[in-house]
Amino acid sequence: MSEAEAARPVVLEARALTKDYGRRRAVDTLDLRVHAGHVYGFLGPNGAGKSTTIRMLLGLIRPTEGEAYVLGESIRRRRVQALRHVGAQVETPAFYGYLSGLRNLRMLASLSGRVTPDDLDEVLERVKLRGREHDKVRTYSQGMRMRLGLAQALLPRPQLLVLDEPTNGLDPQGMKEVRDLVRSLAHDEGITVFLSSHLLGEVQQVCDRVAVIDRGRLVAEGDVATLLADAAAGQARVGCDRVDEAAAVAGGVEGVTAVRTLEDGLEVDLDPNRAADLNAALVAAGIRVHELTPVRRSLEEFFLAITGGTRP
Amino acid sequence: MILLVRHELTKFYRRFTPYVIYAVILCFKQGGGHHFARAAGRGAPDYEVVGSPLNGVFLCNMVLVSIALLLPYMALVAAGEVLGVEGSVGTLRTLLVRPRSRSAIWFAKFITVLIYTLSLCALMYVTSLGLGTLVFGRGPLWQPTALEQGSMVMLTFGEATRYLALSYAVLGAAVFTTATLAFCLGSFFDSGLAPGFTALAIVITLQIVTNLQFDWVATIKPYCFTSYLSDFTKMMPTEFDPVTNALKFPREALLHTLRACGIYIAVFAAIGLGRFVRRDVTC
Ligand SMILES: Nc1ncnc2c1ncn2[C@@H]1O[C@H](COP(=O)(O)OP(=O)(O)O)[C@@H](O)[C@H]1O
Ligand SMILES: [Mg+2]
Repeated sequence: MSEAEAARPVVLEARALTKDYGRRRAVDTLDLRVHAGHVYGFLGPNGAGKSTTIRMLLGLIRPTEGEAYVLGESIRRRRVQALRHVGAQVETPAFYGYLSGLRNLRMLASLSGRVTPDDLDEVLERVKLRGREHDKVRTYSQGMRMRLGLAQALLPRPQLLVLDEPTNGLDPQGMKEVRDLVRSLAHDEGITVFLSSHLLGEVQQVCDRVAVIDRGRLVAEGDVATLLADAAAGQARVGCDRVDEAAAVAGGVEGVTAVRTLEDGLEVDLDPNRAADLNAALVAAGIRVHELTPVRRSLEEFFLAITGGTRP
Repeated sequence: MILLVRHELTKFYRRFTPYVIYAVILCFKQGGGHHFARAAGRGAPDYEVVGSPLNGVFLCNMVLVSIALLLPYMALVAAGEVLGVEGSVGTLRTLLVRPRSRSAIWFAKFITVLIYTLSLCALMYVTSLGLGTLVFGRGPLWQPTALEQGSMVMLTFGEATRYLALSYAVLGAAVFTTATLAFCLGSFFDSGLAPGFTALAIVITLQIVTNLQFDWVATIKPYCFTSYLSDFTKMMPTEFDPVTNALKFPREALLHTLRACGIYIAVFAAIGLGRFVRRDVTC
């Protein structure tokens, strides 16, 4: 985070937030600070405590210990004021299925302030629900409900947007659209976005900063670029003959950072854009390449890497 | 607040349940009303009534007696849904991240329950009186007196409509008390049906217990909110004022019932609201 960024106001803050469900600790002394203007990722596997944290941040559940602050207000003492300029979607969107999408939107949005028909039109356009707004929500697909969930969070114009796994249940095209939307909200309109996800790639694509949570604990926090650089580096498996010779050639290719030899090939850490160069170099050296596949790191492996293998 | 109440009324009246219940009580009224009307038309009382006792206010009174058995149960189901359904569907979490105080949202829903309960009673009053008068015409209402076996008090049609309105309103107060119980149980269950049925179980249990023939039952019965469900019968005047010769307004009985219902409503509401503003919304 640059100095200028660090000087921006903190719009969302968790101080030692803790939540116990009976004897199970769902969230454990979590500290977070989200500065204005960021797209902040909240990354963790299923059951890590993301939704529980978001519910505490928004005042839906009381922390066992700790405090949450939203736009400078304590959520415990001044919940209504704190939520005045917040749009949120917690877990899967739930609506009144027997009412139309439009009526659901109008009712929810009007609780936060004035909404004009133009605002409604614009938001419906943005989430691509135009033409279906008069249908009952009962008839909506899961993806459409998610879009409607986004739409209600965007009305009326929030300063802070809190989204809990907003691409859950969407097809790849829908996921891309949501990511583009989030980016444009942040970059074109200056809305701060706090978004949880269990998808490493998603956080890499849309977020500036990230907090990684696992089993209720914060395991890492920082700029996406630095924190996830390691994970972002591509890996490839090369199936080839003359493994030792191949390793020497691969090591000389620009963009390759590490080479490990396997019995029937190599495992290479490299800039994903250089895969073709690697292939060309190997072939030019007369090595027969029969396989070149990118290896994706799982979230599990990523956690192992950033927690130094402490996860049992 | 007005906005919140409007929203709650929209949500409530766009659902199915209220209309099912309106329909059920209207059908029940048809059956019950006819049955009583036939019985009365045929019956030969041991006193002489000039002309037919069958008229609009007579029917309205008969419907009141029969519908009083059903109304509390019906209202419970609808009242239990108002909060419970939002928990079971999960809309509560969407609603409660809006900048509105939880108590305001709760009161808006509570007012919806009140409006619905009163509308049920008003609907029964208006339809039975209206249809009865249309079909059977106007006429006086004969009521047994409290004083003497076999003697009757006659209410003119106008008097009868006023006292019947009062009776329906008192029934409404008692039904609203039980509806409040069901509504408040909605703070404890994230389910559409559980609050209504729990309240139903409580009401039926109390009704059975308070009808047992034990001394201790007689002691607790006046304090039990289910007892007020039959208090509407005490709203019909049974005596004349000896001085003015006007019908004696049942002031004592009315105040007693309203006070008792008020206390129960306040207690149920305090518990329900207290829980609602504090609860963790995990649905
Ligand atoms: N209402 C609840 N009662 C008991 N345990 C819960 C409840 N909600 C969540 N949990 C537990 O808290 C942990 C975190 O859950 P959650 O916050 O939903 O995770 P995430 O959103 O990251 O998938 C899980 O172990 C879950 O089982
Ligand atoms: Mg979750």
